Amino acid sequence: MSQLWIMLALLMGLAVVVVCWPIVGLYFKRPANMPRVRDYWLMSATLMVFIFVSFGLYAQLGESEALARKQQTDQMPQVESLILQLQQQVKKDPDDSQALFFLAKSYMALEKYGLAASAFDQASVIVGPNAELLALQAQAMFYAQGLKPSAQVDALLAKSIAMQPEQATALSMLGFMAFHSGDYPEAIIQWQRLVDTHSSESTNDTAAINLDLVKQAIQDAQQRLTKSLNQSLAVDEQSKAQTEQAERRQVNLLVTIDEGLRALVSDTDTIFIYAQALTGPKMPLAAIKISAKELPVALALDDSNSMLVSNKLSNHSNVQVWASVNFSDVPGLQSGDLYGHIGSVNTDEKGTISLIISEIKP
Amino acid sequence: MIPELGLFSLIIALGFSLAMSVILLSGAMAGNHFWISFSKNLALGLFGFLSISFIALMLSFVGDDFSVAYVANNSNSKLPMPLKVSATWAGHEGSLLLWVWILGGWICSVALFGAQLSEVFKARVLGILGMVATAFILFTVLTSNPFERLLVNIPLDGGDLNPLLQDVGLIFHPPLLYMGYVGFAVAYAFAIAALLSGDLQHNWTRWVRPWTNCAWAFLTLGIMLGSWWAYYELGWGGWWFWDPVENASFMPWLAGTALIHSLAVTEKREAFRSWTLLLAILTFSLSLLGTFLVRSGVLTSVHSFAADPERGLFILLILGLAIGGAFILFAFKAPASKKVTYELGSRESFLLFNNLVLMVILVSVLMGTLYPLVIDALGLGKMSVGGPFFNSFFVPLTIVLTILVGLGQTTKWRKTNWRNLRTPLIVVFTSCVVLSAAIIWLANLTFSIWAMLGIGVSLWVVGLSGYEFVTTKLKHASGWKALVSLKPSYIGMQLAHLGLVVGVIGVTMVSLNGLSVDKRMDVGETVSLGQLEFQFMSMDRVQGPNYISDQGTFRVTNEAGKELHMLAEKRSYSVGGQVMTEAGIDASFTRDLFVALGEPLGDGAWAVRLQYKPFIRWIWGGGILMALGAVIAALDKRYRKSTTSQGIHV
Repeated sequence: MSQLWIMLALLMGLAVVVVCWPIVGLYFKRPANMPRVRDYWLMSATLMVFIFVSFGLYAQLGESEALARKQQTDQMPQVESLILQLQQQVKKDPDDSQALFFLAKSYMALEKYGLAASAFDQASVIVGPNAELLALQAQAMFYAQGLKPSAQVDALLAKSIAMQPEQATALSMLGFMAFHSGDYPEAIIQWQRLVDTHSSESTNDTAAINLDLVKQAIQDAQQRLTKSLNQSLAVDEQSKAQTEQAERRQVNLLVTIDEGLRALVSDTDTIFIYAQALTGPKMPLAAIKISAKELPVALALDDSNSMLVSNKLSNHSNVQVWASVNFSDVPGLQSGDLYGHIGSVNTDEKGTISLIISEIKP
Repeated sequence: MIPELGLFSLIIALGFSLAMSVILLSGAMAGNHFWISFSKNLALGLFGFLSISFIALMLSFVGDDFSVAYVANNSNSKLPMPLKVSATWAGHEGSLLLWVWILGGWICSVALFGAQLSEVFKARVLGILGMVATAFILFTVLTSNPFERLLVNIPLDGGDLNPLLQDVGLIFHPPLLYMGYVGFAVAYAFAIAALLSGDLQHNWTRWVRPWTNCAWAFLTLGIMLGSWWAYYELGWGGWWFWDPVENASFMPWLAGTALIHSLAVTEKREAFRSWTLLLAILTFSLSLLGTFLVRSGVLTSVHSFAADPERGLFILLILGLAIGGAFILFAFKAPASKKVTYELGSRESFLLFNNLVLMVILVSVLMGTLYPLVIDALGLGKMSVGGPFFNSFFVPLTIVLTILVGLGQTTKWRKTNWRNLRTPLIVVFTSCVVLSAAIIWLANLTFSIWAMLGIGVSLWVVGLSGYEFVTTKLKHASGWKALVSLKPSYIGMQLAHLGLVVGVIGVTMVSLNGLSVDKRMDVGETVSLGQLEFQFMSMDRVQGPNYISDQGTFRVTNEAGKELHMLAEKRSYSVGGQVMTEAGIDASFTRDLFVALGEPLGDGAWAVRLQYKPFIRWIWGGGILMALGAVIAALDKRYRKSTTSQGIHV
């Protein structure tokens, strides 16, 4: 812009040169009757008036400022240039609620939600409580807080709805907040209210809300709701099936004793048959006690033989199984006790596994 | 940025004009040569900065700068370049800028070429012109700023130039007209300067004559061009409509014609001094009135004048100051009549009669133009005063005027020896009657008293001019020597009078012997007009730069069986949607053939106007001769003689 003023100054300089040229001529010619000093003073004063009045008149009639603004805004994207113009307007007239309103809207377009919220706030201070402004302020704040609800946002929306129950932005926001938190039924309710109250009439605030989009959003919410319901049903069934399956877990064993060791065992000796977790506590998951005379015996270890409620055989897909003849009649293998062991048995397999007592605890 | 520089230059020019009026007038009054020494530079500066401003506006048009409201309203990106340039003065704001620019040009010319004037008198004249310029530049800057911007919502394209004005006629018509209007400001300034100085004994009229002649020549050409443009562009073949806008330019022309003749008497005989001063003031006043009647919109509707009270008030103020101030000055300082004797039959008397007749025409035209406006303004209804009213006085008075022209140039200053003139007058008169009857009969024209009068008075002027030339110029020298020794002022006068004769013949012929027919024509159909046959050959769709045209081709066969083809168009302009008629014209020295398309009537048929216009070119030819005569007369050496020795002591 200074370029324009330089050009204007050059033009003025040219004008001054044109006016003053006869004086230069006089200086060189030095005629007999040189002008009086008073004439020079008058001349200078006239020139000064000439210059000041010209620039003054130009300042009044010219568009240098508007041109400067235009050149500045020409280099910016449209919204930003609009914001600059609106900012200047608000600066010029802070009570211009309309300029504030559009400024806030422009901030929203540029995702400057904090500035937008404060501009809406200023606008509502000027025009007084207004349902639309409150809703828009709430919307701006909600975005400014990173889509997190807050008491302030809720209060603003509640106030807006109280003033105008069908306020479009407020209903839209209530729906959106519910949707965002996953409360689809609430979202559908709020949005449906919006559609119901605004589809038959064209009010100012519906102009800003695209009812088709709202309808789409409702459909979206409905789809999500259906999907989540289906999902939760599926989860229930899966866990039930898993439970049932787990409950069906057992180890079928055919327990026999090595013929070579049979002689060492009397019929009254106690035999413990039990399953242990592959890792972790040694506490048996399930255990059965029989007498030696019952051998060979086919039996199943399952949750009905469990020793602990918290740790059942059905909790484990693989276990190790033991069969031991405890001569001392206490749990746990003592030296000289006879035993048979399988390191890993799949509890889901239904087949019978042969467990032979063939070892002597050294 | 260019429009801003244009506006600032206009403001600087305002400073220059203000400085001119204050510094030069006070310098002249105080006899301060230091102040007066600025006159040339101030005039140059004024014209220079007005030129920058005008060029800036023109560049805004050329560069399609639609951020300038005036450009957006009067141009369009599709407009051909010459029309973009001429669109600069197509609207109110631009034509005002043209007006002040031309005024600046005249002022500069007076400053540069007025070497024969005394410095003090010249300073006074320039000071007055500076005042006129100040008023107009101020009016332009404050109420009709052509550089006003639309910086918030800049239109993507302009609203286009009125198709009526998209024509070569427009490019030259307004500038020529303004050259005329504004040129009369010089005569006005001379008159006011003479009145202000109070020294009216000296013959200021000699210096002002060439300026007045030039202004009058430009005005004549401007009016002629306007008439020609209306003829071929408005589509119906008329060449003068007595339209208020035309009358607005015709009134200063009538006053200017009277002024030129009155100046001749004052210069030669020092008679009519007050009358000449009054005419100089009146002519420029009528130029101002004309400019503003047209430019304020008061002529299209009285109410549009009131619609912009700021402009209206400003106009009234300028008119009041320029006209009222001048007449008050005249009332107080008009020279007491000097006893100059001349007889009733002298050239002075005939020039006085000439002025009288011109004034009667002027007053009648003024009445006819303003009366409907007054009636409308007073709410007494709408009325229009048309051709029949104006023709009822203009035609007979022009015949009287032409008779006076013949007599005036044959008679002598101060006293005419009528005894010597009696025989030649009778001979010329009789010849005129016989010859005009013969011409009418031989050329197979319709006989009427008006045809006799029209041709008769033309021959009268030619005959008497010839007689005067033979008896005065050939008296002292023979043949080519006599021709070479003729002074430009004499040649100019004769040419201008010949122009009048040519014009009168043109008007007589076209009015009384023209043919016109309006017909429905299908393609292939033939219509007869007199001995001519017009055949509607075809109708084509043609794409122009910013319009689409329905172009009809006509084949015309004359009585000798010679054929020619003519094209008549109906153009539809794409931006504004206006439909314009472009007539097909076949022009020649003795007649024009004119074909204009009216409305399509369905089934390929069109309403067509066919016209035969004998000698119509003579009307404009006459105007050109008059203008040429005025310019040649202005070149006379005696106007360039320095008079400072004889002195204008003020």
